[in-house]
Amino acid sequence: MKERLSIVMLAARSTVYKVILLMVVTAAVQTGLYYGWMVRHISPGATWLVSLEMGMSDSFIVLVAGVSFVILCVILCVTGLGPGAKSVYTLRRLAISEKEVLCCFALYNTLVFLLFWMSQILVVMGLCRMYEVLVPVLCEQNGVPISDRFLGPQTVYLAFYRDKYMHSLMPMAEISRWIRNLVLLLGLGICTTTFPNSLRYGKKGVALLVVMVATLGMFCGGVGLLESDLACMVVVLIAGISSAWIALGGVEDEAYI
Amino acid sequence: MIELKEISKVYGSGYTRKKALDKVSLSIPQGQIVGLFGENGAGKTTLMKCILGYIHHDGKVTLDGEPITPKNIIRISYATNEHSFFPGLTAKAHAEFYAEHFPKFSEKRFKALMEFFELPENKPIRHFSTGQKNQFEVVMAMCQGADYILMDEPFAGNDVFNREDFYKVLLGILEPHETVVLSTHLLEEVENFIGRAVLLHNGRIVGDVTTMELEETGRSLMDYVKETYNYRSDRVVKVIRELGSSESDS
Repeated sequence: MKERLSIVMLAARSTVYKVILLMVVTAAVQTGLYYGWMVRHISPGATWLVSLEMGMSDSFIVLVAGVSFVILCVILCVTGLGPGAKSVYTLRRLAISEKEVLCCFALYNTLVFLLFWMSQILVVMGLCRMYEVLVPVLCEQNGVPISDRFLGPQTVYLAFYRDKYMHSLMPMAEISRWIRNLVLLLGLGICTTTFPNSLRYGKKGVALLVVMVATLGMFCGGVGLLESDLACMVVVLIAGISSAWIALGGVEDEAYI
Repeated sequence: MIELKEISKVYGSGYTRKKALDKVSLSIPQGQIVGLFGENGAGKTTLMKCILGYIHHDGKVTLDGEPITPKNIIRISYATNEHSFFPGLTAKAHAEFYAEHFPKFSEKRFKALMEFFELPENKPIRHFSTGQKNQFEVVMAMCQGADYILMDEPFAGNDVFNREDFYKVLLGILEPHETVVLSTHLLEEVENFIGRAVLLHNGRIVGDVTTMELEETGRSLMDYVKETYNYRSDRVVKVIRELGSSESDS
């Protein structure tokens, strides 16, 4: 067990600082953008207050998250064990097989995506809190009337149903969306692991592109889109399983014959 | 003992097809220091990679009669000029990682060799110079606690003093059960260090001799290599003479 943990730590050591930095920068940019949106829209002369979820869609929060997601995939794929050496030579001389090494890396990558997901939930909840605290202050300062329609005890709760991105981040009672998100995490974890491995064995890492496109294109969905969730899961599962099959098969062929 | 039976390896296909190894059979008993010599492309690196199972090949490689698998591969270490370390990790982190995975990892030898090469322990390896990277590669191979230490051109780019000193240290620290297979072009430098020389040419073994046999016949390793490769020293004189006469004609 300790040996496998040290493999996970190996993956962590080469990427964890970059991942944390990326999450912090993403959170800072999103907070800045949302704050800017609030200040712009709750200005003197404004006749009505805009809603929490409108701010989410208007302030490019989702776009920033998307860009950050792509960068995260690149970090996990490109950085890997670090360029400039054939570290795989050492990994292939360990008492644990290369298949197990790949599984450890996939586990780490999945955890990183889970962390990214959690960080986005925290950011969004932080933005909600910011909305609740700053809106009354800004409205009072600028003489904008506050309506219960836009700021009340149910505002945040309802926003998690009304806004597609917020709902997909935390799907509340929609079980299928939670399952879809977990499948996405697993698919991304596997495909970011197998991508550099596939390239090393002269194969194409198409599966990762498929899962990335599926995530970017289908992640934000409204309430009750079961068909879309199922389609996304099928695509990601096919891509993930096939890439794992190819990668593990390649290991068997190349390493010990 | 590492045994190679009829190992063949072909790279590419069609016009690019190249036979890197052609039915190579070789036995390497424990405790020997073997020099592996040959021109560029002779098959030295390919041979080592076949031993480690890094590449497809025909034929059979065994370690004490068993195929090489994750169960016994930790008995072999590998220092390569392609570098097999983790660039983002420090030397100290490497030591921790190796200690976790190789039960016979020698912390004592690690400290001593790091000190010998004057390598920093807390600096990521990617920030080392090329020479330091080569040295570190050798340090890790030496400290793994392996019975068989394969070294592929380990000191390409290092200065002569470093190399000579290292060979001396190596002779001093090697345990009787440790085997070193050293691939290099630097014949004269390792002549007094190795106990056996294996010569490869175009993917075939063309010479295999112990230094004791050479001593008995009063030949140096260089003489043996020249004989084996049918080295024609007159070709240098010939080309100079030909070029000299053609230039004076013009």
